[in-house]
Amino acid sequence: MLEVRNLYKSYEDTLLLRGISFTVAAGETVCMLGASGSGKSTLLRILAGLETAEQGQVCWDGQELASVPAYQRGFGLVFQDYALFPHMNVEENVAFGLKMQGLSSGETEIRVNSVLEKVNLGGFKYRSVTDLSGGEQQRVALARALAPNPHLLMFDEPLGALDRSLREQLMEELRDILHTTGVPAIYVTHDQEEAFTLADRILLLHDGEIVREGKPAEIWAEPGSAWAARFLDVGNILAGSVRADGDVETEVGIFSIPCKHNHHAGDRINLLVRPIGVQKATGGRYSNASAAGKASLISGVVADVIFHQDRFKIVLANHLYFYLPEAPKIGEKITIQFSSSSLQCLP
Amino acid sequence: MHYGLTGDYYSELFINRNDSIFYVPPFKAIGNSLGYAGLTVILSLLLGFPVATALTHPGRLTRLLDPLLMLPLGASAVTLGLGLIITFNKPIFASQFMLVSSPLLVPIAHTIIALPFVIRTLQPALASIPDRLRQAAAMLGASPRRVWLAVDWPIVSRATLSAAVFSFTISLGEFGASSLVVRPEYPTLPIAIARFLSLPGGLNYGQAMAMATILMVVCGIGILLIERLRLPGAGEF
Repeated sequence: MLEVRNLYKSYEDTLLLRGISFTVAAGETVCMLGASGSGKSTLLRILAGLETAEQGQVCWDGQELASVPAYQRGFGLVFQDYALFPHMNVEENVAFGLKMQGLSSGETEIRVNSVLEKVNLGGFKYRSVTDLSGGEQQRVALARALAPNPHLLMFDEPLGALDRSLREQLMEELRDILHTTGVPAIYVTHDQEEAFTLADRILLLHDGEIVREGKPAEIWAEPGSAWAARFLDVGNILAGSVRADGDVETEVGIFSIPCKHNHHAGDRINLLVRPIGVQKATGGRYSNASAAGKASLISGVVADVIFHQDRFKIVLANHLYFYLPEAPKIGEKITIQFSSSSLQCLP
Repeated sequence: MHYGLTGDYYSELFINRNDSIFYVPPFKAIGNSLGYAGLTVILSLLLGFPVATALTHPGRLTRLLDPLLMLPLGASAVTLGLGLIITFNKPIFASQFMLVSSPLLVPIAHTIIALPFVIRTLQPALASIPDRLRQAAAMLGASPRRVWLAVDWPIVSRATLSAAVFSFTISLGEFGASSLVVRPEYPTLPIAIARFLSLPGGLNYGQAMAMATILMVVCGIGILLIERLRLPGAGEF
């Protein structure tokens, strides 16, 4: 099991990583999710032993790794640009780690065949790596990292260079491989979809710190901060302040929120308004008006209507967006009605 | 004299008909040429590697280095030979040794001419090794020594061989600087061909043709080897 304690690392005089701590248990896939340039790749390189942290420890099964060079850690790393050896064919690339371990040629062949089957590249053994497509190269890179049975697999945005359909296909295959092999894995990405598809646990990285940690469903239900909600595109964020009667006053209206927190009057707070499960309010009666007479309503002029498979994304002139089953006209003034369970408070 | 294919003039190359002072058995000229070429390869690789490595990390000084080393290509080889004679027309340091009257001047001249080609061949290969590859090898368990053997050397070895063959072939065929710098007792193959051509008689003409054919074949083989060893997509002129 991997334990990371309090890592600090600067880059060009600014602190990039500030006190990063987390663990990865056996069989777990942990995703480090953060914006580009947030230090995720640097963190991975520190774990791999290719860079050193200024402070903090990295421990594997209780053993501190600071004195262990990269080539002795037994970790696998899959790069975004594959980093396949161009002067070797597929078989030689995949067998490289096994050769370094001193495996016999018979055992090497068995292992190479088995791992190439796992990544669906059975017939590719003797192909030159420079002839392969991006998806095939990435599979070879994965096979190469898997072959020597690493204690831990690390992925540095491996699907970034591929087109969408290939990315989706490889995500499924990768999920499958990670589950069947049971290797603990750290997957670093800025793509929220990859993280939610692959991770058992997600770590949100922002400003050098882990601001939220949890299972994908937990994080989606409780983003924990306005930044996280924006980054994950969970919904609309409204800035507001708490009134004396406990409701929140924002630019687009006054809302009562169902949360159990102790908010004091005058507190600044953010409201998360989820865009799904809402209705277009018809004129006249509003169902679901709150007892105190404040309905959960937002009005606005439709600025844009975007088709989204089985629903439409309606963007209002005040930049708020909602999903509706039918498309209103652009320029139409509409009122969106939602239940207070679509509302959440965020710090 | 005959025309058409014959082996007579080749065998003639080994016979000294007249006892001319300037006569040097043609196969000796071939031997000289091969010797000079060998020295040129060694010198040009020894000089070329550091320069090519320096050029992969461009800085202010290295920006001057590139055009400076390309000068021999632009200036005539004869000018180079003349320059060498003028420069070395005095004893080296405190010794009595006059480089200008030594056959060693020839490989030096050849090296200067071959250097741009050697550098142009080595530099792309050296620059083409991304650090990622070394990191990938390390993650797979390769110690630094094994990383060099498995990643650096295979990529650079082809280019080194290619540069060596380039250097060799250039030296073999070089005439312009050699004509000024070569000692009469140690001619190169092209010099010997020119000499035979300037002497009257069909026998001399035939021998010149024979030697020219040998030169062509050796250079041709050299170029073929260069093409086979070239890193795909790198080092274009």
